[in-house]
Amino acid sequence: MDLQFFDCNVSYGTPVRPGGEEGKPRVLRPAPTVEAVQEEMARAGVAKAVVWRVEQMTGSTLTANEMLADDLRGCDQLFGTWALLPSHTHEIPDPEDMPAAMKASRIIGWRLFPERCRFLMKGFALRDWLELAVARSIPLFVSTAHGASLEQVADLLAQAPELTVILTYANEWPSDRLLRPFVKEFPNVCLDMTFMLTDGGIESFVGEYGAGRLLYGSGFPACYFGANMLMIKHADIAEVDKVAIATGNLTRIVDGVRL
Amino acid sequence: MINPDSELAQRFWREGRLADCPILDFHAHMHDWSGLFLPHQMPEDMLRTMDACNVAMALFCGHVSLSVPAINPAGRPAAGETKDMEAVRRFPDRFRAYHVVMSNYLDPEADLTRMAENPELFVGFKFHPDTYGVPLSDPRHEPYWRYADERGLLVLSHTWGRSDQDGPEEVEKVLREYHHLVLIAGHSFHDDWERGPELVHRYSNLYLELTAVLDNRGALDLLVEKCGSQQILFGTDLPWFSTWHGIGAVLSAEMTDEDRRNVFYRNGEKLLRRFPWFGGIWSRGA
Repeated sequence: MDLQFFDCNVSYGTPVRPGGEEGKPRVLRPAPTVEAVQEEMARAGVAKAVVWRVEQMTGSTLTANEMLADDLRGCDQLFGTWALLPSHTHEIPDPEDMPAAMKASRIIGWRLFPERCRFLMKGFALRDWLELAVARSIPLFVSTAHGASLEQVADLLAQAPELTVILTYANEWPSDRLLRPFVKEFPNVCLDMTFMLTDGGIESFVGEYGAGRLLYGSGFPACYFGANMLMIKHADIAEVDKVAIATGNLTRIVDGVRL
Repeated sequence: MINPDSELAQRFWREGRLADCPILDFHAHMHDWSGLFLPHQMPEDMLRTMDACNVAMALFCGHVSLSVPAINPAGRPAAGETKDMEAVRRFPDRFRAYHVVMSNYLDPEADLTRMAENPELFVGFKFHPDTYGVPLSDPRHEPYWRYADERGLLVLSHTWGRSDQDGPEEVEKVLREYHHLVLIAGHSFHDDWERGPELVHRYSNLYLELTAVLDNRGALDLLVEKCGSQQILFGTDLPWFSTWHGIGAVLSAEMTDEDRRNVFYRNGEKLLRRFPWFGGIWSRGA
């Protein structure tokens, strides 16, 4: 049976500035709708994906969280991540109501946009969310492209070392010196491979840490689905490790969420 | 499956390497560099990747050549060039080097003598204006441009769309002057995807190269749409970026399989045929 792929990093939507944010790479071919995502997934042969809407970051977070939930209704192959805000302002469901709201909407995790949503990515600002995330194994999807620095991620993990973090380091330069210490230190940190393109990088990483901490991610629509798929498909590692990276690890994380 | 409309994509997916679709990588490096952990930095490791993907040949400029000027006593081969030349001598069917043009420590007499004495090792020069802070058209570079132009050599330069050092304006200054060398725009003026094709239409000796282009979905599609596929070359920065990733991106982009073959090897083969050593290597490998 051929390798199945479960993508941990797919977005869609209509940004306010189609030409891209100042100082950030342009998305040349946006995917405005969930249908556009599904069409491209089918073309590339991607079975499932965790998705978010760009408007969660660049538009109206609350509305976009709801739009995402609406979009995912009936989409068995897609799972969503809601943008998180500090609970102090009560804009999104409070922590005690959050699991049920997520379960009703195919939401399996949270994303942090601290820069655009203007909050501090500190333990004291997010403490109740961190406690809930650890208690219910809810993954936190964090990308350095969204205003979260690696230093901030390290601070957060120091407060909640058991936290499940899907970490996207948004720089295609080989980054093992930055990322491997997170994997070594924190048992539930997994790396989104969207920008992990180093030649021989998969083989070297798996040889050191095993295959359980790498997740296939494409970064679609900014990047092609197929580029990282081919890299994993022909990596010089065991087939069982390819299955883990392509789909198994993310399936384990999603199945482990207790809502 | 990647792309159901492409026979090449389906075959690469199943088989990994295709004997009838070799790859020529026009933008590679080698050895260590301070900013990166590179598991495949040595030529033997790069060859493992190249064998796995059927990369017939990689043209490279080593990191030590590019970044260690202190060990280049005048008149003697620099440590970096020595390493690069040694790699080519060890694997003459698989590697050729670009001689670095280290803009802040130029020694044209020594550099051009080394080139003249080793024509079988070097395909031309490598410029990196953004790194050295010296524009491509700086008059100090003229001996190198003249040398390359007189011999029809390849010149790979880092190019970036909005750069004052190696953006489209700087490249065009060189192209207006020199018509016999082949100027390879590394990274295809990254982020300014319109200007590269414009220049390609005007200058037949300009080629766009794909390192760091391929992690931008739509960029290659746009280049091919604007200027066709006949002046585009495959490159990966090996040992930086996975060759599989690069192949997967080309297979994913909207273009025909004939375009993909142009990019993977046909355009490169035409360029390398100017070197007397190439025909034998190509007929043995391809």
